[in-house]
Amino acid sequence: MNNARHHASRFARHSLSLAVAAGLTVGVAANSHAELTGFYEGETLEILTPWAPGGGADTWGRFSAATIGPFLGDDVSVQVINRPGAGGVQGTNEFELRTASDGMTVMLQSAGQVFPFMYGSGAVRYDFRDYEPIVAMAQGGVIYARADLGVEEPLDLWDVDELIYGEVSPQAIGSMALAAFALLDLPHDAIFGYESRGPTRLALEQGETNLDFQTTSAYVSNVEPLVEEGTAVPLFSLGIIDTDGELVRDPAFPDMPTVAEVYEERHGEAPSGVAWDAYRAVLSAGSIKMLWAKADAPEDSINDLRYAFEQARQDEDFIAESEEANGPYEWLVGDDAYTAMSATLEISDEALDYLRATFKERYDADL
Amino acid sequence: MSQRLREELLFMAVIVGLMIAALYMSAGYPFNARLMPQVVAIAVLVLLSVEGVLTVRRSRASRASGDAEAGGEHIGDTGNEPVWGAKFRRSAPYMAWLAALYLGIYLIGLMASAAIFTAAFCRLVGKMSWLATLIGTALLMAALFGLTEAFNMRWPVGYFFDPFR
Amino acid sequence: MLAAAFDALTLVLDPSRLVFMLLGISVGLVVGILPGLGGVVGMSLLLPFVYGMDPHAATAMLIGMAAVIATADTFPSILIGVPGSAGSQATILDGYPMAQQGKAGRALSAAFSASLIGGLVGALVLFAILPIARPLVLAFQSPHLFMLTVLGLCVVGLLAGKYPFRGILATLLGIMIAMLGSAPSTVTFRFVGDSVYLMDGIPLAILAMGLFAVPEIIDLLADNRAVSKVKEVSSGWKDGVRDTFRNRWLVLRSAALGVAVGAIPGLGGSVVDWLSYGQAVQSAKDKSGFGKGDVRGVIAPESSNNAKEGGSLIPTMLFGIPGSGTTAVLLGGLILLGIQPGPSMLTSDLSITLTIVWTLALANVVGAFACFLLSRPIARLSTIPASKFAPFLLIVMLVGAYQNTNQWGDLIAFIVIGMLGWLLKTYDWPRAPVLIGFVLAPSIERYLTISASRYGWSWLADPMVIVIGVLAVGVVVAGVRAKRKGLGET
Repeated sequence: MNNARHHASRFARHSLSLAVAAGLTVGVAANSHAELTGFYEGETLEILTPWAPGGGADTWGRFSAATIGPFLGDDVSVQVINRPGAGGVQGTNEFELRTASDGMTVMLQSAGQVFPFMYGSGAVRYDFRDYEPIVAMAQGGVIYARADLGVEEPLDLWDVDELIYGEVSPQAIGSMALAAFALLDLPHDAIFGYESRGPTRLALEQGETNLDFQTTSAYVSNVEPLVEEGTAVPLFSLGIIDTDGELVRDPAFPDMPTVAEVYEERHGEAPSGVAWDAYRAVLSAGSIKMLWAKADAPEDSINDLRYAFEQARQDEDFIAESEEANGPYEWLVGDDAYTAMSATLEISDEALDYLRATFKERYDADL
Repeated sequence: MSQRLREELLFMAVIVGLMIAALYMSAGYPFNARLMPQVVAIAVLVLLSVEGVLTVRRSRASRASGDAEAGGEHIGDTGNEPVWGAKFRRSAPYMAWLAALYLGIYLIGLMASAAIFTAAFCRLVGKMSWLATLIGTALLMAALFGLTEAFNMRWPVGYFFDPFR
Repeated sequence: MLAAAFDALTLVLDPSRLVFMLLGISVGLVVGILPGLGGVVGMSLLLPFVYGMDPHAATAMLIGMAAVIATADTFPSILIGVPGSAGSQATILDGYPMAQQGKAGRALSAAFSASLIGGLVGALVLFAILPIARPLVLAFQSPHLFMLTVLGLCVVGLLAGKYPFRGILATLLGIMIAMLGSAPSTVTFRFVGDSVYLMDGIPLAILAMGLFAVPEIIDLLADNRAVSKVKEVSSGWKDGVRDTFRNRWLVLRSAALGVAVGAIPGLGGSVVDWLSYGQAVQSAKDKSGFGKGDVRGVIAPESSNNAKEGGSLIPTMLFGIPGSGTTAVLLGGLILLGIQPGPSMLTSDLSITLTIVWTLALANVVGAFACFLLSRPIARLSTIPASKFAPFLLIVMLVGAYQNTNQWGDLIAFIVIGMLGWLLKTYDWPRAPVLIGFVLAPSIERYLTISASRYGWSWLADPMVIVIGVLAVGVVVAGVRAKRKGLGET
């Protein structure tokens, strides 16, 4: 019975010293994935997904569950376990407080738990820096506008009288777009309260709003037809953070400029400073999906997981399937995954203060 | 004033109290977050004061037209029976059963409590034969285990001791 | 499109795919009949198998499950007065009194035959309006959706219970309960202090079971009786079917209403059955039996409730906007299969879309017949004294309640809401509007916030807003008048 295992360590909490020590060993342990030890042979690995089935992160988790088994060894089954609650905080707290460190459970991270963590919500009991990074993927998105605004390229946006952007809430994934607007200092009205990014897109089609952001998969299937029929105009992509922590063009939209390029075109220099740090923090918080293991899980289990994904990312069939399901985005293993997330996990107090002040001033929102 | 009317007014007074608490608590929220609860709470307060008057009038009217038809002929149906008194005496034992079940779940977990509760209830309240009780309990437990396996379900485990954890 | 439709039919009827559809249907039956479990639980069971499956077989399986739930959840509604899901509440108004009068069999067979026809009409209309559905959906902006939600709340508040004021108050109470937890457009957690459990608010399934099931069980036990007040229960099998055919226009009208309302994104399916119940009352010559076991009060909501599944697939498939919890998970399933909902559902993925339409129709037929077969043994439950079935029902509901978040909070919320429901029932307050207010609260708050911040006050002058507003006022006035007449005085 798997509930027994979940509850077995219910009283075993991390001591502070343990957590700090784990944080320090990240760099050392991450490179030790030399070969498979067969830790998972004949076992079941669970991917704890703190949302109800069917969302974007759940789908990514299910792709991993369905494809990584053979790379972990013979007769390994991988299962997605959904533990929804409090936008992802609930299940992640459970991972921190109750999940055994036996290597049989990894946790799926996506925007839902990261924003409350980054902004220091009182409900959060976890710290990603205490965990071991396994694998990550950054998926981008596109900012686009209604064609009847007469906008043809990003710089035309500053000539528009009334830009109206539809948003869910100040801590939803659309806040990546809000942080981009803050970096670019783009005047706009934001309407909060839409249920998700589907309805914001619908609102743009209806003319209720005229500026919108969609993630890659939704953009390709739902906005590109609008672009073709001439009702929408793509403007720029959010960009992708690469293994060096740099912002590069989105591989799904190689012809589209990034936020940084728009900034450079307008100001004549590359973006820098606190607004730039804040943007990258929000971007990696909102765009990266990642698997984490407990730091005190058996070394062999962490090694095998990283090794398996390292093998998978070099496997042609796996990559072909992944491009089909997740878009042309890279699988980042171990240290590379941590580097991609570091802008968020190691955000400076100045950048946080900047975000809080900006959101308060522009949207009267308390982060 | 009849007992029933007193109780109904008390019930409404509790709701009034909750609404005032909600108004007080929401005062510190951002505009978008407090708009809806405040509008609704105020609407409840206004409508509830009207409904309070209507309830008193209805109660008087039914008393004037004689208590005979509101009397005991439809027991347990939503008549004009007050809670405090016969109705509570009838219901209390079953609420106690429920409380016992909850205590059991807390102490020894849901699965063990479910088996004991079902068997005890069937025997003592349902007056079922031992055979029927055993079969019923066994079927229920089998169904629960089946569901748990099929849907990857979990159940509450006991605080001190749980034979099924 | 017709040729493509027949191609899709042959795809669906392929035995290897048919098996998966039947598998989906059986899962749907189980989670539909058990109170507290719903589409989300069923989807979580099926999703792990979906990956890598043939997309036609997988969609058939998922849709098969989703389609049957709306039929199967009629059992708890009629037999124990507990809504099996948010969509079958209006059925309780007349279905449960029928069970109390020993006519459970008749109510069930009327419900299933109406469901069957409604579901078929839903699939047919879905097929017919697919090409023109986009502009239809695009016509409703936030202010209109806000007004439609208000209209729905007015209808429910007035229809349920004896006293119109209490109905509307109950709706507002439901909205207040929904205010617990995170606010939709800010990062504020309202009224919950530090309770992580309450951050998401109270789960809908727990509210429904607590409000309806706990009071019913306690009262049945206290009076030591069965649901049915009469000993002899006629099977009424044929009567129910005959009832449906006698009211065929009502069935068709309700089905059309179901598709139309189901297709409006955001309003969702939760008010469809009430609107349809309302029009059944409105159009009936003799209104006196409604609420006391008039079979038309079962037929109308069941027909539209099943037809709505077809309608709600329109925003799901064409815009990727799910209309309900079940369609949200269905959407996830489609994405997992590599199908991105959107305009392509009418072009390159047309065969998938048509598979969905056919499966919907087929699953409705199969599901309704399965329910017919089950209804005879299950209807007998209404004659068993509560003391003999209460423990079983209670345990199943507690397990169901615990599945919402796997925390003690689930069990505590269940019992607290249960006691609230018991007081409401005892003091003669309608409980259904509480549930509807709860379900619609997030939408109504969203649309109000968006309308106000996007349009200021000007949205109040929009012609469509005014039309719906007048309609809502008309409903309230007519409803209050009817209630006065019915009661003699207020």
